[in-house]
Amino acid sequence: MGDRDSQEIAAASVLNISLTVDSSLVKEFYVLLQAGFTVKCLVGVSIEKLFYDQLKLNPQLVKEKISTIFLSGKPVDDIATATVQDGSILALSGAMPGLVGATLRRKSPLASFRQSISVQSASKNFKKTDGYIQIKLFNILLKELGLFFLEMGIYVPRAMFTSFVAQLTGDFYNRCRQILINGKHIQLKSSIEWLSLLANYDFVYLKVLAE
Amino acid sequence: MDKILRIDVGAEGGPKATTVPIGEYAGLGGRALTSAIVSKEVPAASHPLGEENKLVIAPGLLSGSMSAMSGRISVGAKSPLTGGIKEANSGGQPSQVLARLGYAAIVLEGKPKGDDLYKIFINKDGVKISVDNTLKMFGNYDVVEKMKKEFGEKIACISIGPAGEMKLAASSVAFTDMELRPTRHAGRGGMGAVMGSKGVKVIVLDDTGMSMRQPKDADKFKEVNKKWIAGLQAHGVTGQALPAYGTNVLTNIINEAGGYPTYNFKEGRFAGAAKISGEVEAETETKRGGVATHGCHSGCVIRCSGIYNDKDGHYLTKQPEYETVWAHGGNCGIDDLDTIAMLDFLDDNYGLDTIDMGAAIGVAMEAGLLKFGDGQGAINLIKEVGKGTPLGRIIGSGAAVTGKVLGVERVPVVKGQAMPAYDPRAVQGIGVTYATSPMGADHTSGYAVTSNILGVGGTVDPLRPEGQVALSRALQIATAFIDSLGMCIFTAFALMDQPETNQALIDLVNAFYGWNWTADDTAEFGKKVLTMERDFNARAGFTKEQDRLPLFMKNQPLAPHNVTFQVTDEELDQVFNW
Repeated sequence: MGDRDSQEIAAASVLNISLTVDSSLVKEFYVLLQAGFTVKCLVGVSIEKLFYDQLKLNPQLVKEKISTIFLSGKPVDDIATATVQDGSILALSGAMPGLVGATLRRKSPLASFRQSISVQSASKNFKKTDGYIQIKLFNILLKELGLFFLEMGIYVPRAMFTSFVAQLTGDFYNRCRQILINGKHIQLKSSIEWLSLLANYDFVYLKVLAE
Repeated sequence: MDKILRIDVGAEGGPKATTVPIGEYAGLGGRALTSAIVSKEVPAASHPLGEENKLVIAPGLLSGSMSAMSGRISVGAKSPLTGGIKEANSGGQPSQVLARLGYAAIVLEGKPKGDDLYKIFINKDGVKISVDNTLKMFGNYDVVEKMKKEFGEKIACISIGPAGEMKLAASSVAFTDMELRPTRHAGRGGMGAVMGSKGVKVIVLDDTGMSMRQPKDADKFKEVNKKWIAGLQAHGVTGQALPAYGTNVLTNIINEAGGYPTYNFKEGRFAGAAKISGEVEAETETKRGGVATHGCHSGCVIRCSGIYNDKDGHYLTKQPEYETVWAHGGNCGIDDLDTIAMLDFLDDNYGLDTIDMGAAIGVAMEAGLLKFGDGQGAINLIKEVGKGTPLGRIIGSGAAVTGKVLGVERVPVVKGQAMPAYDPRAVQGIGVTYATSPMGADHTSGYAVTSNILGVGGTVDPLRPEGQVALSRALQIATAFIDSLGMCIFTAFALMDQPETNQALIDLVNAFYGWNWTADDTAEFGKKVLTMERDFNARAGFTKEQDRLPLFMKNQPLAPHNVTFQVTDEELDQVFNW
């Protein structure tokens, strides 16, 4: 997955997939969530505004669980000043072990250890506009936020979705209660059946409801 | 723990065991004790595999007690890998068992007169040493199976594999876990070779009939231990991330930070990282009937280990840790967990340091001996080590020797020891510790979080550039203290974020020994340990020129951030100016 900006996705052909699954299947989608997915949002705003104004995340969760944040590969200390732009990659993680894990945390007392790669204080003059950012969820945040993003809807490149369905077993389809492709009910029993459906599209827009 | 077991392997008529009072070493345990004995009793100019070197095995000050997380054990000697003093520590059961048997340390000294291989059995009745040449060139797993048949299953074992017998510089000392498997290793610095040079294949411990070590103030100790456990379980790292995913939870975020050494430290990000992440590893273990949350020793409440089964659901190895997954994974361009797990098993069975092995194979790949990403080739190379072929002995001697033999410029070592899984060009502070630790490149030397950061005993401004040096100094001091207690260093995160948990640890020591230590006292203790170690190295010929990272760190920018190591030599030289 490289950066996904608004021009690329706006010009792409997108297949809409909506799945209703048994709640035990949600973790099957974690592989997509940790590799990175794309969402549409208002960009040119701080991570803090993205979290609270757009995604409506619980402040307690942000404070206590989202302890490590990378903006396009750079550790973030201050979510109020770090700004997401079109094509940004935002990786979210819990507090991590190891000296370096502790070093990479937001406002770590060890922050100087990685100052050469940290997000520096950003200009506040970015233009606010619609755009696309890529999000990666790691470790404990898969459970905390995975279903939230799946219900909201995520963009995934066709190649990644093809790899994802290729490793699904028959058990997945037994516990998958409904498949809607571009709004139409489809019966699928094996991964091979996805290939022809996906052939003419660049991206999948995936929504998952868990029951 | 008021006695030391000294075994002179070169005594007339065969090895002779003598139990002596702890004497001048009272109040020391773990790393403090191994370093004190080595520093005082081993001539710094001695050969690491010779008669004058001593192998010291010491449980921590709190090992064998009811305190949670106190099951680490230290192994010390003059290192055949670095040429300096070494303390390598390990989890597993032997620390608790040896402490309950009352021994503060086992010291193997002298040089055996022949080439017999010895096994040592220690229980409440004493010590029995016998020749057992049937164990020659046994892997650690087979050694333990044989000991189980001979001594039963209520034992704990300390052993070496073929690599230790061959006295290879990257060989480890193995410690059995709760399932009586030799999966825990004092991996770094070639301690297995020193044990091999003493002719000792295995030490079998049986604490049947012995009880827990009792604290001086039992009520206080019980009360504080509850706070200690509660603090560990309440913390996000020690209570959630580590139990759920193990240490390999780091793969995704170190990779995201661009500090994941890839293709022998050529790049900072590995395209295959998501396939070998802790998240995938834990899921794989669970699906195959293994275990994703498991302690490496009794009394562990963090439980960051696990059990990794093969595709057919059969035990393959313990959960490979982050360092191992990186060393054999991203560093070698291998993105297959099953291949990495097999390499982990082979390292454990032959008795090898997984970090130095991964680094040595990465160097061999850079030399063109095999291609990056060649998993089967990597497995074959480790098997060469087990067989003792000339190539295998080169690889088993570690990355530094491999680099010299194969003519490679980019060799990621400090003081001859391979760098662990964090590139110091991206995370420069850890480079300060890699460069200056008396142990050589070691991610655990500056790990614990000190009272200094908590504002006790001095202050550091972490945002000043010179803060990196001050922080590394403080971290190394605190780690020397933690390593001496037998405490797992993963407790450090709860110590950093929760002052009450930090205080609980100090109170735990005080209640056990009847001391009145403050945070400043623990810092002084850590300084004392580091001073002994630095003094030994100085006498062994080390100068400030050894406190440096390899040159490529300064002149080869690391993608994706395109950074080089910027901390100056002058700054590095300030680390130990207390």
